[in-house]
Amino acid sequence: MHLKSTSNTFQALSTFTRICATKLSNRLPKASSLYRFRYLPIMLITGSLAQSAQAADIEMEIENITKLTGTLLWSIFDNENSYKTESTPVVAGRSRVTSKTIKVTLHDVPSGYYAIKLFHDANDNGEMDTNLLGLPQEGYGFSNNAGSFGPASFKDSKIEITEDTQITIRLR
Amino acid sequence: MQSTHTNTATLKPKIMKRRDFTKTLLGGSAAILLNPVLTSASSNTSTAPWSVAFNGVTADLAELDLTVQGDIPEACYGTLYRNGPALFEREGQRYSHWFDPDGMIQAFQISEKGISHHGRFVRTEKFKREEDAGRFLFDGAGSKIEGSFPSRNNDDGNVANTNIQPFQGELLALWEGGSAHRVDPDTLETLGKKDWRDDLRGVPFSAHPRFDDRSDMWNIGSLPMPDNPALVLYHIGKGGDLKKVQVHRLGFGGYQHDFVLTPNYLIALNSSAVAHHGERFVDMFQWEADRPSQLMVFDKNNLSLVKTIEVPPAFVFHFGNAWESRGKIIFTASQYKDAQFMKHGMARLAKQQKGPYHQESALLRYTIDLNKGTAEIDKLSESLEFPGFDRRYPFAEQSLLGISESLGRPRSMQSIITQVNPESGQEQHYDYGEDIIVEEPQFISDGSSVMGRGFIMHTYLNYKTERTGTAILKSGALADGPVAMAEMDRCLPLGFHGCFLSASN
Repeated sequence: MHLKSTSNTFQALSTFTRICATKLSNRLPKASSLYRFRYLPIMLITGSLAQSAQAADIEMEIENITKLTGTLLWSIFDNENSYKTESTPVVAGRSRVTSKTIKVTLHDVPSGYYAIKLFHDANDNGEMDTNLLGLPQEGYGFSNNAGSFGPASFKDSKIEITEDTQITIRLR
Repeated sequence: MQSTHTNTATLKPKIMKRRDFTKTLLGGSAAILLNPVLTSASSNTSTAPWSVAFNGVTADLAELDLTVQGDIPEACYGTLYRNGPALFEREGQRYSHWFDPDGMIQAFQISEKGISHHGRFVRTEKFKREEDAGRFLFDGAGSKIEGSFPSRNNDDGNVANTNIQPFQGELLALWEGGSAHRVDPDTLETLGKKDWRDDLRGVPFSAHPRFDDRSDMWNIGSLPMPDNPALVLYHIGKGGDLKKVQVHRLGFGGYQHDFVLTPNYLIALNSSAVAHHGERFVDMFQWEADRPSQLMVFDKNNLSLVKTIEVPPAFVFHFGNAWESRGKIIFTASQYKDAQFMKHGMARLAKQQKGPYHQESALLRYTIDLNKGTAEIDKLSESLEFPGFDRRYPFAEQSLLGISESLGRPRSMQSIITQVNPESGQEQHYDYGEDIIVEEPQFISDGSSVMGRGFIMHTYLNYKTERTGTAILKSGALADGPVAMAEMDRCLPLGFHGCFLSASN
């Protein structure tokens, strides 16, 4: 999953300027160029992440899905750089959206810190729909339900996994 | 750059004597309806005596007749619509800034039968979600909500609480951070968001669209983000067709609320209240006393930037009308010394605290010489907010209406209706006395085509009796006092802006 967002495209601003989520160029940007979403191959939906002496399951419940169409895409990162660039998730997957809540379970996750990004591609067009200013028109979310507006940082969204863990992520 | 401050008119308001029937209406009701809650509130030294003006309401308001005194001119038959922050509290959590409560449309229907009122909340997505949840879910522009949810985009926090204006047979309930909402003029039901184009959903659209002499609509959308501030300009045909939209990047993100429209130009003021990183919208703005503000002059034909003119640091919520004469552009602005009213005064009001509110807004006249790139600035009036005019003539030099503070009664609220001649600065006033808080006045034509000839209608709150009313004065004869007043046993929260739609249209 690739939610393209350079470091200054989405900042934790407050309500009005939440507006401004994206980097505006001098000329009107094409929305799709700002929030292009790239499908990654499904590596795993429920299955073993890795074999480890200290492995745990993550049960992820995704709620507040407002449209029962399209696909929910999620990806999991174990370091800040890959989280930012979205280049090398440790695992990524997708689920068809048929209910307001979706559960995904990951098995045998090695102990460590992880951050999760989600995006609801409600119209299955392969990218996050945005408005003229690049603001998302489709749902997205982060582990820890981090951030108030725009992408949350790795620091805010990371969770430590040492044992079987249940988390709830609310899509915005 | 040349800019001068010349005080051409510093006329102090003459405090006019009320007409006898006004005394009867206000004084009589005051004697009967003193409120014990208000009495106890008044004994609290930190609570403003007009705290009832910010209690808010919690449900739609059914039709209620007002008691009318005086004669309502036939020209005033129609509906006065107003919008304003109304839902201040849910589940024990209260907003702490006047920007934040959800908007409610108030309709005062005026006919030969009298005047009746009803009110209805704008059903924004935010309102509906919070109504379902039974609590606030999102932070406000100036309020922190415990356990708030992150936002997907601007419209998650859209409260549609700032203005209500007619467009294409419907009403638009306007905010400034996101989409406008369509409202049914009769039932006040919310009909959905007004999407000018798919990719404009949730893009800021100011609460002060202006209409030219062809009834085309023009507007700005301000994006004062610290790193990439921008301004969106809109030109919308009277049929609702989006003629042009343009985004301009700005050098800094000054707060912008309204703009100026002339026959050939759209002028925006990039104020010296500049956005920096901050937790909430209002917190972000810092007054930069050493940073000149910018008048950005755009060509209406293609929405391109023609010139940027630096002016002394300015903070303006509202502009009057504008005209062009002998190669110059002239407009008026209700200008504050700084951003303290927005940052602190509006928070104190919402928290029902005593002043100071820092709401001193003087009426200034800007005269722009585009060739020289200069602006001369004169002060026309010491105190005037909510400038209004005969909107049939948006580009003509004409008198301005507004509300004024009660000079000589510091830390009070506006109780005076004012009319100012933009050339001489000569003023007329009517002062309702300190129990009354007056709200934005509307000009109503007497049916003739004579500019400025007609009536001035406004709402008011008598905070002592906790009764909201409407009053009608004759334009140009404010000293005579109201020709009609009407009150109801209902206390509405103070609102922001509205419009009058004549029954004869």
